[in-house]
Formats: sequence, structure tokens, C-alpha cells
Amino acid sequence: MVVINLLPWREYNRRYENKITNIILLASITLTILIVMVIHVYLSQELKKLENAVDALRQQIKKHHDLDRVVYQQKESALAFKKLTNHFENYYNGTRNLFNELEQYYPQKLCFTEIHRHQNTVRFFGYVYSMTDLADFLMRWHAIYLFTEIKIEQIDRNKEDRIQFYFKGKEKIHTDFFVSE
Amino acid sequence: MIGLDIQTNGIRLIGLKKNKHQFHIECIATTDFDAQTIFVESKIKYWDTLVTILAKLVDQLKIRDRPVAIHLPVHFVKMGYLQLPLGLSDEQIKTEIYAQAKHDWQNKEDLSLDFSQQTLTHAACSEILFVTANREYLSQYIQCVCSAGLRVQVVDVDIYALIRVLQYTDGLLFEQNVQREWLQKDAHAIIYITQTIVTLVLFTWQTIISYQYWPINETEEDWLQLSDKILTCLQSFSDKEIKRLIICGHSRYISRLIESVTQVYRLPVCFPEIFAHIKPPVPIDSAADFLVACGLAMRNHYKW
Repeated sequence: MVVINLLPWREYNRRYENKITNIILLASITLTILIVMVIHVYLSQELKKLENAVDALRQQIKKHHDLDRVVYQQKESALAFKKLTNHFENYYNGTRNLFNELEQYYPQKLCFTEIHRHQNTVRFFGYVYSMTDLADFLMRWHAIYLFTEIKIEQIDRNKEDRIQFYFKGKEKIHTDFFVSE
Repeated sequence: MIGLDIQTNGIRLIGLKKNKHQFHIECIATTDFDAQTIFVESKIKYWDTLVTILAKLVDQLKIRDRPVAIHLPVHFVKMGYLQLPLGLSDEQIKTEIYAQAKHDWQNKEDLSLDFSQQTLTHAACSEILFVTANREYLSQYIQCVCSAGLRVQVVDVDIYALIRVLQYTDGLLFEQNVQREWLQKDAHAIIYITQTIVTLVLFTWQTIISYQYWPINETEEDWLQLSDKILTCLQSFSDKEIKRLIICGHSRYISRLIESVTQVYRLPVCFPEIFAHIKPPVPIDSAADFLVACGLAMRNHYKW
């Protein structure tokens, strides 16, 4: 059976449906905005936390860098000190060995008047009566192993008929005394 | 939904609540008054008095702002059929109805209307049943009910409300398949009696075939004449297979009509007992007075 309603129910239904549609639309938009805002707030907080964590890590890295620098500097100074110590020890050993050798083999026909040392170069000043004695000495000298090279720099015959000489020897560097980095 | 039936002799109000396929009474009230206090020539004249009576009833039942279905008597409306091509919009259909109802209503603005569309299976057109009513009177009526504290959602026609009640008592109101052949074929007749009008409605469960109304005075002579008219009218539809005559309402001279109908026309007569089908049972003497109110209260309410 047909259903009659003399009220403008179609219009009312239309208005109601529009109203409901608008409400749903508005609610959807509001909900979407709300969700976006919540997500934004959440992500902002997370980002802030991460930024704080990154800052803390940066601080730690900086601290570690500073510590590294200090350690490096200490290591460098320790190394420099050890180098210096080794250098002196090398000098000391070289000089000691040289004097030991000079003491063990006492030259009969040659006289050293001065011995200078500058870094690893040792200069020997002295005199002989003949060049043969000097050559003989240099060929037989036990301390020759302490030098890498021996170079006669000057030979002069003076008024007293003595031959004044000056030769220099380059000391062997004992690498085992140097500290490698 | 609350069904409100304002008759010349009083107000019948009932609130029904549907639970599955059964209606339950929520509230029920009746108020009697003399016709002269409210009505003049079957029309409500004294709206303020009606508002006062109705508001008192609303307050008593505590049903303020509840949705209500009211009705116009069938003699206050014009009903007709139109056949229109399929696919017309609601506005186009309304325009056609206005054109059709032009000779009844001078001005388009004077008119309230509703229509129901049914597609005809045998033709590429639809059949439109339309109902038109006087907008001014209807607006006053709605205003009056709203002023009393109720929210009008439905304005029905009394004979449709009656048919709805009969559908319910016959167990057909919630029937899905009303297209069944016997539902369309079997005709029934209603005689609806009020204080001033007697209406005869001939209908199937699908449509109203015909209706006619006569003003009546409570005199024996009047009823004799009316019985003859009703019989003549029924005989004019002898091609229809009328299954029964349903008497809605009462009169002290109704027995004469029943006698004539049963003897001459050999038509079974029945009196619907609505309160036997609604829970809880209400012991009311004049249950027939509530038929229209019940039919109105059985309307589905709208969401707006």
C-alpha cells in the first residue's frame, strides 16, 4: 500500500541528508586534521628527541676528539722525549765505544791533539811523522767499524816536520736506538 | 511514533513502539469534548482551545517533543491518479500534478501535495497516485500540534491509516512480497463512521479502488438512506471480488446497515479488534475509536 505524507518530507529528507553529509564531511576533515596534528606533534617530539640524542652524541664525539688530541699530544711529546733520549743514548754509546776503542788500541806513531764531535760527525785532529803512519793507522784502526765513512780533510806539514792532519768520520747511526712511530 | 486522531467528539492519542513484527503501547490517552467547542462544520475553528487541550494531554503523558503522525480526513483531500513517462524528476511530477489539480486549487501556493510512484509492468510509464490538500488549513493544523509540544513528522490521510491497521491485524503490514496475485486481486470494503461523515472505501492490499463519503446526522432516516447508498455503491463494483466489509466506528443504527449488507449483498462483515493484536492488552470499550490513531502510530518515523 502506498504511503502518503503531506509534509514536504522529500525536502526535509534532502536537507537532513545534506546536513548529515556536511557533518560527516566536517567530522572527516576535523578528524584528518586532528590525526595529522597528532602525528605532527608525535613526530616533532620524536625529532626533538633524536636531535637531542644527536647533540649528545656530537658532544661525546667532541669530547672524544679532545681526548684524542690530548692523547696524541701526550704521545707526541712522549715520542719526542724518547727520540731525544735515544739520540743522547746514541751519542753516549758512540762516544763510549770510540773511547773504549781508543783506549784498547793505543797508536804508537800517531798523536791525536783534538777530537771534536758535532752531531754524528767526529773530527779528529792530530799529527804524524809520516803519511805512511797515518795510512797504516787508518787501515789497522779497530774503531773503524764505528764509522760509515772516514774522510781526510786536511794534511799540512809544519815547521817541525810533523804532518798535521784532520779527518772526520761519520758515525754509524744505530737505527735500533730510534723509536719508530 | 505517536498517532494523533482529532475527531469532532474528542482526541485519541496512542504511542506505539515496534519490536520486530509486534507493536507495543507506549502511551494511550483519550479526551472527549463537544464538537462545538473546537469544530465548525467539520473543520477545526478554535485552534487555541485545541492547543490548550492538547498541551494538557502532552504534559500528562510527558511526550513533549516526540514525533507525531497526524491525519486529514479523506473529505479534506483530493486524490487522483496520473500516468506519466518513466524517468521524470520529482519536480516534473509535481508540475504535472499542479496542472492536473488546477481546477480544484486556484493557486499553486494554496496546495500541499504528496505522491507515490509505481512502475507499471505492462507499459513504459509509471502510475502516480497523488494527494492534495489545502495548505493553509494544514499549516494551521501542524502549527497547533507543534504549539502543544509535539513534533509533526507525518500528515497522513485517515483511510490510509485504517488500511494500515487492517494490514497489521491481517499480518500483512510487514509482508515483503505484496506483489502476490491474491493480494492484488482480493478487494475489501471499509465503512468508516465518524460523528459527521461516513466513508466507504473499496481497496485491495495494493491500492484504493474507490472511496466515497457522505455527511450524516444521527437519525434513523439518515442511516436508512445511507444504507441504500452504500449498497448501491457496492453493487456498482460487482465485478470486484469483495471479500468482506469492515466496519470501523460505531453508530446506534449500524445494525440496519449490517443487516442489509449481509442479506442483500451476502458479504461477511467484521469489526477489527486492534487491541487484541497490540501488547499489552488494553481494556477499552470504544477500541474502534483508536483505529486511525493506531494506523498513524504504525508509521515509521523519519530521522529528521
